[in-house]
Amino acid sequence: MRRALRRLFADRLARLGMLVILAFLVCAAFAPYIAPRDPLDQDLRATLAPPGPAHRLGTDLLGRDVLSRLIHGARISLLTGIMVVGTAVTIGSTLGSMAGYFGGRLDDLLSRATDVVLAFPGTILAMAIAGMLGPGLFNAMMALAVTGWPSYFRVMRGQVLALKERDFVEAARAAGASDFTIIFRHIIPNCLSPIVVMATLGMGGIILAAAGLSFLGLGAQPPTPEWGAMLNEARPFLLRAPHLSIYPGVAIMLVVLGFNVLGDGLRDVLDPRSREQRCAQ
Amino acid sequence: MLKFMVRRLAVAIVTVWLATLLVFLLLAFVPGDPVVAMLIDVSGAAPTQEEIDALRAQLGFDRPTYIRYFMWLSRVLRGDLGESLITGLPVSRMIAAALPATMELAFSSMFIAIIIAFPLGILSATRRNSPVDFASRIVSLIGLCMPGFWLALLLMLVFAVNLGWLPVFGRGELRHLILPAITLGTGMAALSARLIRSSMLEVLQEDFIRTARAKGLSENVVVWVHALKCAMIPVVTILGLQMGFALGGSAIVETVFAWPGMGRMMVNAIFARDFVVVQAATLMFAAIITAANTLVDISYAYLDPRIRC
Repeated sequence: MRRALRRLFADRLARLGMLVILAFLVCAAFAPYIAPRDPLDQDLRATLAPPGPAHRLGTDLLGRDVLSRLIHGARISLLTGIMVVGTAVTIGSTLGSMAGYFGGRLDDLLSRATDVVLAFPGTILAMAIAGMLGPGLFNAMMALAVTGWPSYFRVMRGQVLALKERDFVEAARAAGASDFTIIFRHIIPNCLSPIVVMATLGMGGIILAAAGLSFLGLGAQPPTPEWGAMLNEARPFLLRAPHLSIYPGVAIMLVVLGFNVLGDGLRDVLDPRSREQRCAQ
Repeated sequence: MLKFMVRRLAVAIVTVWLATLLVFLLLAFVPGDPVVAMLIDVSGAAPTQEEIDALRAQLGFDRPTYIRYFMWLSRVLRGDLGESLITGLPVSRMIAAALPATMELAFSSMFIAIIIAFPLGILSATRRNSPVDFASRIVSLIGLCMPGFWLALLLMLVFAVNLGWLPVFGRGELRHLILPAITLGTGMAALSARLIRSSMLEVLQEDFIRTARAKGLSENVVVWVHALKCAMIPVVTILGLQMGFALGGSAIVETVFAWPGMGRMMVNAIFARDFVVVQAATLMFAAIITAANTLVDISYAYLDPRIRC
């Protein structure tokens, strides 16, 4: 574990990813202290103001400070990512390990269920579910979790199938451990590496998808300072206030980039197969 | 081969059938009574009991769920996807009108993705760790992380608003297609370039490449003839992935550029609470993806005989 961490820190790109994520985490945690103004404070005398000394990144239609809204937006995006990925990982890996361990009818049933979810283009199914539930950030998060768990299920199931015949599992069983103990104490801790990699990469994907739903009007609702929703509100003012359309996109891209780069780095460190490949090359 | 195709088709049919179940169950996500929810948002006022009963009977809500499912399924199988709750038009006609626009956009963005991704991926792999490789990897990473709707706004800002070269939205001439296709194609190109790079790197490790080099063949012949031929096999998979990407991204891109396709139709239907259209469009998307994946698997088996067993 310590060796893996040291190798991760040696990877320049992964370090960059960690730095970016850390910066956004700090913004999210201390948003009220860092942001120059309240994100909802309107100043109707300074609407659609371009970036300047009073408002570093300008103001929007209601004279709200764009920089403050971006900083507070980090809270929403990161929280959405963590909640959705957390739920998807929990559901996916619990069901996946059960399917892999018990096999039989349970496995068939769950595997078919994942096939069905994966038969839809991800965004479309999430949109349909979020639409049925009604617009709102929480509903968008639910929709993304419902469409997100099957990929974790598949990986976990594969891992468990490979592990359950190994000697240490046999030994645990011989020692009289229950199925529950075997799954949660012996098997799951041993197949976490690929899940950690996937979850890191998944954070980027979910933040992107959540911003997309908000952009369409299905996620966070005004006046919430959510990056996708901010871009949606900026659309009518593309000509008059182009700055509104630029900064939220930069924020989304940077945070997604951070998670992707870190995920790639983690994969190189944790996945033995890709490590061998790297040595071979 | 024939046996493989038959089996693959059977899997596809089962998948689509299961997809109908999920699409049918979508209504369960509607909070409260879906029939009331549909009526409230159509007229704006609270519906009367007669209205509720009428729609309930029309949609079969007065019967048990499983009977309603089979009624719905048998209509879907006959090509009858129901009528829009808003316009009253048959949904199959609405889809027939919107599908060509979506496919036009999907194929042109796939084309753009391919002409960008191939040179990028191959150059990157053959000049591994060179500045070219580094630059192309950075470009594809950025392409992958850039939200499509943001790229759309930026392209609009530069090419439509500032330079005035291309129309801001709508469909009609080829000029209308350029910006939406680039928006959708960029993300796909980024994803594909990464896959092509890694698949090419893997092939370049193989023994037959070493043999080809040892024979004294020029590096160009080795890369473009020997390696590329082998690295092509995963490309069909990439095409399948791209189709999924194109359809998944269509909702946002079509909405931004007012492109009259299925994605935009679905977004509009969601906001109008036109659940019949939402269900039909979702099912249609799943059917197209399943068809594309089946085609990919079959052509994969055709290209690589080891898979057919």
